[in-house]
Amino acid sequence: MEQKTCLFINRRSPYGSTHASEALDMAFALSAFEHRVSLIFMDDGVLQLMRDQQTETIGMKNMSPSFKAWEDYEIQHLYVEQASLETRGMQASDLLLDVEIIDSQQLAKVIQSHQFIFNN
Amino acid sequence: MELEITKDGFLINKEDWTKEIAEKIATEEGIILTEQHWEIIFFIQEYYAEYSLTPIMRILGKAISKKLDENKGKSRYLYSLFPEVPIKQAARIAGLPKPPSCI
Amino acid sequence: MPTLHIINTSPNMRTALQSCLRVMHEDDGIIFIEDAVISVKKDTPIAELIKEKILTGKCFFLKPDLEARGIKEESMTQGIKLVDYNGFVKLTIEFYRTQTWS
Repeated sequence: MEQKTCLFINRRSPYGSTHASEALDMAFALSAFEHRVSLIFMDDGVLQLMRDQQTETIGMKNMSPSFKAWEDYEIQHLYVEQASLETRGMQASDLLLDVEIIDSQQLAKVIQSHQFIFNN
Repeated sequence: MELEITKDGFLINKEDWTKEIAEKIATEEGIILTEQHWEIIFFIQEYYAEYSLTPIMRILGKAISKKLDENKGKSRYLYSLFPEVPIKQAARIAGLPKPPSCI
Repeated sequence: MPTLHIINTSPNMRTALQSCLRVMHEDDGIIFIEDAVISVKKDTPIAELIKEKILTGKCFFLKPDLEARGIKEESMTQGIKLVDYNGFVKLTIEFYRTQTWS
């Protein structure tokens, strides 16, 4: 199977729908099958990376610990859009992982450089 | 007390898990648990506690090679312990949810 | 007939909040649940949008949804009120009716 470059643009909050956790499952699966996968977090997608998520009271599985397995799964890059953090009053220290925080122009280049885009 | 299980025989509440339950599930899978089995079972339980996920075979193998022993991460070794579908059988015995990668 | 407006979508992704604010009466209350709880963050464009409503003391946020998203109390706008599930139910009784904006 030919190796492809895949980019997930994660734009949704983690628990309002199942989009976020399904996108993560899919990203890990593609990466495990040796495609080169990167993730972008923008808009409300940046909330997926918030530290200290506690989901017991809403009765949903906490998806945030799974992101820590990104290196095991050989995910190439984790990008976060600076403007999306700012609009939400967030900063790098609010996030549970060290990510690459980039501006919108850089993001445009990242998107352009990938063969497949999954926007959700 | 009746254990709550899914139709595939996975525990619904991982808090229900005990070593006795593991032995019982293993028997259903046709496996007699040894030291070597427990080592892998505890490994995937710890992995789940940290990452809230059961990794696919290749990733689990890599993690085991890195943290336990190079040879124990090889699929030949894992298949020798859990002959049918290692991840699925090990997860079931460990009381974890059915891995998303398994049908 | 005072209404409790329920917002359950993110103000960054949809216009439910903006539309609701435009048409709500000063006696009405507003509660943010699910994805809408991100509106609680201080010093943001959304905080600016709801600041007048906060002054009325009838601006509520559902705590379990804030906790699920890791949003800490120190990052929240002053003057908002946090409620748990029971508090939410009480509000629906105190107001004459509820209206959900998705």
